[in-house]
Amino acid sequence: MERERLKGHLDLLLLSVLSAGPAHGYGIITMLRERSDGAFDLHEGTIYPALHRLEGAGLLDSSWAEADGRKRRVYALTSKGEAALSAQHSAWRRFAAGMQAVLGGEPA
Amino acid sequence: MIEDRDLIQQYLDQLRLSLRIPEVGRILVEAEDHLRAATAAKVAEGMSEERAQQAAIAGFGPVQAIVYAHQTRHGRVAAMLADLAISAWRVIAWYLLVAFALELAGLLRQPHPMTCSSQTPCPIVVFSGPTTTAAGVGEWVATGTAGLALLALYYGVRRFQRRRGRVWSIPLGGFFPLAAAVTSMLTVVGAILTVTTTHTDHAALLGGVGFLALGMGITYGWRMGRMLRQQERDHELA
Repeated sequence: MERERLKGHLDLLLLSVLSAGPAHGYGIITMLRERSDGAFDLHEGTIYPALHRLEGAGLLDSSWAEADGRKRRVYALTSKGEAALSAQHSAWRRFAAGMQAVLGGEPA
Repeated sequence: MIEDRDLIQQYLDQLRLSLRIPEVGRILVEAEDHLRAATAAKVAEGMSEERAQQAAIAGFGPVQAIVYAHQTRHGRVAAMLADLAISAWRVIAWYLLVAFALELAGLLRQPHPMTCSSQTPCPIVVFSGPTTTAAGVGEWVATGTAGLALLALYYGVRRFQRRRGRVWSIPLGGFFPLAAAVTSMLTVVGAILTVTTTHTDHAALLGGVGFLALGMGITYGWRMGRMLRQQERDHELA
């Protein structure tokens, strides 16, 4: 999928991945890639500004942990983030249904 | 264990120097953790350490893309204006020096100043040499001195900034081509207007921009070619 198109949905994707449980940046990227079967291709480093922004908005919380002798920032969904995820998910479903209705054909 | 040629460390150093935001410490820690984890995963798949590091860096993204992603809208505008000013500074300095050199070449080739009139107008690019009047020589010397001073100041400030751990955008990157193109175009228009309306013998001073634009175009093309080839290699590795 084109990077620019993906950027518009990055928040929803990140919140969705973190709804499965806390994770660090590399873990989030790995889950995104696995769940999308490799369809989402974006510069991995660009998800961190999005994570920081979501944290600033109170949708995520983060804390330092240690792994393999290195410091690691672990992100988790807050209750506000859960509510935002639910709202964005509903909005996306409405949008996708509308697109499908206009484009026609079988759902992918 | 960190090897002698630790590409990740080099990448992080570059990132540290390019990021000018307060959260740089946290960003670097997260970037290093990400890159080391990605490298370890690729090594476990059978890649060599060096190739795994290259692939991890390529997947993480070019430094410019990461810096851009972390910048706020305000920061992007400020960086853009700074880049534009720096580009204009460098272009003007080189332009003055090239004009000085062309006048000098004209002096060596043709010691007698060319006389332009309505019957024999000066061509746009002409090696006329500096005029023999005191004012003409003063103008010529001032052009060279100003160019040299501007260029020396440019590199001096750049060196000072580098010592403080800051680097400017990549050489010939950002707004440099745009600044060069606009400056060149305006000067060429100015040269044509000056020659056709006043028949001045300062055409060489103005026409020298053509040589400068050509040199910058070749250099820029070469740099861009290298950059694109590097991006292609990065894409293949990712």
